[in-house]
Amino acid sequence: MVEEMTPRERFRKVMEFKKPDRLPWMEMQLDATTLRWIREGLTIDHVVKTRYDLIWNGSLLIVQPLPYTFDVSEYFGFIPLLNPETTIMIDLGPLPRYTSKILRSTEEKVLYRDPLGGKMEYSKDDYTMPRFIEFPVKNIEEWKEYKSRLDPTDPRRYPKDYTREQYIELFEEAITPTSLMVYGFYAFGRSMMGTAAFIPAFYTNPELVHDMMDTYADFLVEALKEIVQTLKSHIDWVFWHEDLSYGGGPNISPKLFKEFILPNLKKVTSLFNKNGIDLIILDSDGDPRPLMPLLWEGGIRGTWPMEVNAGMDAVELRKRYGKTWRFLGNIDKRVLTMRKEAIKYEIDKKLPYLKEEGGYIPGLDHVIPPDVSLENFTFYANYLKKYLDY
Amino acid sequence: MATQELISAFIALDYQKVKELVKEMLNSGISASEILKSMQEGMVAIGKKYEEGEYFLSELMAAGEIMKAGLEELMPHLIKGTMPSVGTVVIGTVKGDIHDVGKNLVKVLLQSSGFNVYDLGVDVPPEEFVNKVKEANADILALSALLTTTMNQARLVIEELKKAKLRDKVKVIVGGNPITEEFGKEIGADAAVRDAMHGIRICTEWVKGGRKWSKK
Repeated sequence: MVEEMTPRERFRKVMEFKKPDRLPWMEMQLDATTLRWIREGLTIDHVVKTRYDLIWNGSLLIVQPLPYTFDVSEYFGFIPLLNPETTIMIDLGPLPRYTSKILRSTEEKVLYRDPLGGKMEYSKDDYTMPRFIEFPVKNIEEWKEYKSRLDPTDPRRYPKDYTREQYIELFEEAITPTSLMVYGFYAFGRSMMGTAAFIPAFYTNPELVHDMMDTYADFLVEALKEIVQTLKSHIDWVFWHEDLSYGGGPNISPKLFKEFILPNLKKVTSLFNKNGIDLIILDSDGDPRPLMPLLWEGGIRGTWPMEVNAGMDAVELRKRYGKTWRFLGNIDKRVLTMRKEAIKYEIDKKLPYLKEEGGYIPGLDHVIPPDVSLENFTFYANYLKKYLDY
Repeated sequence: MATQELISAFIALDYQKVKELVKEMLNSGISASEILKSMQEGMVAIGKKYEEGEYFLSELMAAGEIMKAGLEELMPHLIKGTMPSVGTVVIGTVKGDIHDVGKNLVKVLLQSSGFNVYDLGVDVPPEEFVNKVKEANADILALSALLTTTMNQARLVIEELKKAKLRDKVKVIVGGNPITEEFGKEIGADAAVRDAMHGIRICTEWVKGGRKWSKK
């Protein structure tokens, strides 16, 4: 009897345009959605994951299982896009952190200084993302201050349990895809200054933007060198977070990308490539298509989530680019709030062709949104599964 | 000659040069309203380049910043009333939604096109939109929604306008990534767009030759 492939083996095969025993399926979960599904009947046993941790019990330090996250992947049978157990996250933030502090608290909202240097506000009554009130960098002086916190050799950047041997073993033996998550250049600039200030700064303050991009490239190469040279191709893919586009196209023009980002992107991706890591997947909402040739030139080899609403169509792009780009996602999340026929139609339209061509992993075109009912997601999961076997 | 140079610098998005030229032109006695007209001409050309795919969001936003910087120089020289408003717009992002980049861009583009704009910010409840429309005697209400989960708030705003008997007194335009024409029709908006420049074109068209819809 032929042994079943692991999810990791399936992932690797598909990303090499080869056929595994079964197509893997990947999604990114959202706690707000899971909470909705619990209200709709999903039992806690299906979603709460525990792990053993050291806790204080009286005067004794003991080991006890503690709930630590919601996880619906096992129940539905998909692979979490970023599995916390096999995703290495090097701390690429400012060190030391800024002092976090509550600045104002009203009945509805809390304003606080974020440890990453900005000011944020969140509502007490919902699970939505906090709102940025102020970003860490507004001028060259603040950038210089922030820059002084970017020492790539600071040992705090690596996980506390990091030892070469242990991580090599962990990443060698993993049965789900292993990944490294990195904030890309646009994402870095946006998190420093906020979109509204960062984008015009390419024109209004080009020296600042150049310095930010160049500094960040050198910082990334130095900070990531240890893990990349240690794990090498045991890292299956790099999740390159950018979010550099919106529904109408890229946030920055190809001209700006070429001048400010491309040379720096190459610096970092060549570190990956030299160490046998070739699969670098762009995470960008919206429509990054006008940047795709430059992204490819910079070493990016795939993209997620491919929002249908923004005009992304994996079928059309596969036809245009052939077996080059790897695609993940691209199933219109909006159909999951519609009639079941719409869900079927969306899957039927894409899966047969993309599965046959290879280099594609199905999933929704972003996180599973909280307006999707448990009933509809269950229907989607079961219908999609019919297509997964080869 | 100087005005042509300003227009060219504006189209080339040369921030420093535009600032210098505005100062030089003011010093040489060219009227602030004449300079403003040149910048607006530059903005129109940039909008065209954006629509033709030569410029992207980055260029549109940079143009907005350059316009803001130019206006700062001009403001003390512009006598109140010499900047004729082509119409009044109330703009904001709907309740539950805190995205403001698109909304802010539309605001700057509207101002550049001569509109008087009241910006209510983000996470704006329906009644606040309605109160401001009434208070400002607005010609247009521009609603921004970036999420599929919040776009329905636009429907609630329109319902509130109806309750306040203001619906036929103001044009409503809805914008944002998930917005479709069908959605606009369904909720009873006058226009629904996903692109900032498209929105500006519609608003400009509405007020061209004066307000054609119901008088207040």
